Amino acid sequence: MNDTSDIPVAAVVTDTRSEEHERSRTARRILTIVLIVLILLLCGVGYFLGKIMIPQGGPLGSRVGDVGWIRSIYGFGSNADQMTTPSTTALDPANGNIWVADPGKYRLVEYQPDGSLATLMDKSPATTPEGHFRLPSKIAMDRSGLLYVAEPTYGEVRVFNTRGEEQGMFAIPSPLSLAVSDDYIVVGTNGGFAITDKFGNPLQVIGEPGRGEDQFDRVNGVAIDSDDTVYVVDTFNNRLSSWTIEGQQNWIVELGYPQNQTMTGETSFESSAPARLQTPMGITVDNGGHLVVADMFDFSLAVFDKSTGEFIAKYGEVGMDDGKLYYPSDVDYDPIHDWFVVADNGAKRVQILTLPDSGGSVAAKARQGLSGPLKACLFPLILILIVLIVSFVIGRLNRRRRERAVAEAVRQDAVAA
Amino acid sequence: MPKTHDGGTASAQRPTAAPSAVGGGGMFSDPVVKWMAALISLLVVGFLIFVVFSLALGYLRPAAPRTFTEAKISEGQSLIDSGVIEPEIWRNQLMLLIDSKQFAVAQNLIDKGEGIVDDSWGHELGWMQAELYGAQGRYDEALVQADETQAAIMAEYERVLASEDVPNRAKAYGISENHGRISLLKYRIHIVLEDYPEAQRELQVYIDANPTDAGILKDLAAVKILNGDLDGARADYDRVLMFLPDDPEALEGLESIGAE
Repeated sequence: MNDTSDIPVAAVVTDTRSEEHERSRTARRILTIVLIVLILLLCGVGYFLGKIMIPQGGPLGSRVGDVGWIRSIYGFGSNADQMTTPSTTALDPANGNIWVADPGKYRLVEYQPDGSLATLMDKSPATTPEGHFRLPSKIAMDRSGLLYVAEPTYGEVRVFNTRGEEQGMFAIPSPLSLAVSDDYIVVGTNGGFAITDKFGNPLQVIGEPGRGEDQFDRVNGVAIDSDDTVYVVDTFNNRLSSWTIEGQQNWIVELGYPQNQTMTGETSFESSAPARLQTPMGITVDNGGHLVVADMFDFSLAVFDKSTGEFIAKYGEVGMDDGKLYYPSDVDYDPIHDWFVVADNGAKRVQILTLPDSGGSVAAKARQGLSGPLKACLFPLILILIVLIVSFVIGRLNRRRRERAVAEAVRQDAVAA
Repeated sequence: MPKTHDGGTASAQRPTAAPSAVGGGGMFSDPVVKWMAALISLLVVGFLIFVVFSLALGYLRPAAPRTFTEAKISEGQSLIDSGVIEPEIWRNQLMLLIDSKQFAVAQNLIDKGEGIVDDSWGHELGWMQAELYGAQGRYDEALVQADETQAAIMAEYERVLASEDVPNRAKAYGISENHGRISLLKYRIHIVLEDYPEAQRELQVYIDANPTDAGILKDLAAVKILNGDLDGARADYDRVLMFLPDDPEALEGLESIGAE
């Protein structure tokens, strides 16, 4: 056995240090290999998880032309709970949740932005013998969370809370479309539209049935802007108009050949309107100063300047594939996520789409990105970030404490010397 | 005990603090090692949390269809689960599964359907098996399966034709359309294998049964060009123009072989 007491101190320290150095080098090497293997493994597993998470059959690159496809919602749960006639949508201004009317099943269904089920409001004859849903033509939601349901067959606008309890109603003949703001309700009907207060008391009643300039033929789309400007889609006269809340017209534009004239033996369907729409239905206002109109038989979303009504662009391809449109009957803009929710009735789905220049903020884009599977990465990332920050702070504190201890030892040595 | 340079003893001067300063904490006294170990732990923990969250949020097992394809598959599956044994429904379901590259599920469905679905007339399951092999790149197996299925379709056709069945399906409708569809599958495989004479032969089989299919006639003309049969290609393009006047593809094809 060696007597280490004979070894000079410097040599012992050097030996120990070189041993430690060697051990550290080995540990670094091993950990580097472990880290590389782990990262490769995680990439591999992540790839397969990604394959599972990315839906089968979505559009290539999540785009169809200039239309971005976020996701489609076909229903929830088993096949029996898929939608049959998703005719109209409404967005919860608080969180962007999507309400869909499915008259075929007498239901209103609330979906979260990631497409999962939030609430099911079943008003079928079986569950609600008195006052079940018949054929809601349009739904809308206000900031207080009240849901307005236009029921043309009852001649009523009914008001519900999110638990499905009826809060009230007001009568109006054939309500076809609906928009609500903090102070007003606008209801489109067969022959015009009405502006009411939040209790349904009429403030303005505008229009009469017909084809004339001041007449309307089925107002299937109305929208209220943040400054209370009202936009009106006159479906069969194929017109779009803008009105003040006091009922003064700002502008009116032709959207295409009036459909009500094709039924009376006309042979020329030419129109000078650049949009060349056929059956404009739902309308919404985006953040970029545009009006977006869903056209059921043109299978398109048409964009107009909201201050002049000037036609800007038209988006959409016909088809059942995701990202394409198949008899779209309604559209809503969600400023929280900067996307459009389209009731794609013919394909029995609701699609979440993006259009160029919709004016969304950076925060809205971030929320848009985090509305899907990426959300699952959020918590681990936050956790890793917190751990890193805490480790860094503790490391700094320890270092400072050590430095202070060394300084104290030096000071004591100096005092002792 | 040996004296040190300054007269103290070695044991007194031996760096008692050295183990903690240099290596008392083992390899973890090296800050780089410490950080790497921490990073590895964080990655593992983070990944596990990600998986747990994905499961909890339903992203790994979505409860509802997310695309049109998934919706159609879900619809077909519920029909099959409810006991529907119509061959066309099974075929459509298999076609959707193959198109969406769910090969294992498709194979399971074919295995399940054998013995349940009576597809003796069109041999849908045999055709789908050949399509599945083709989609998986198992071309030899696909061609063998396709030949067997076509032979089975012909045998069934001849059996029914010779029978006294009233109404006689074979006399009323001719050979099952699936025979031609399988020829198209074989054509596609031969094109991938660059066996153009065989590809032409299969298309000819199809066209003989469907002489007015202008779309396939264009394919036949294109294959004939590859095989150097320019006169045959011209004749096919001319026939296409009989059905589809001014068809741009046919006109382009004629131009490519120097014909008017």
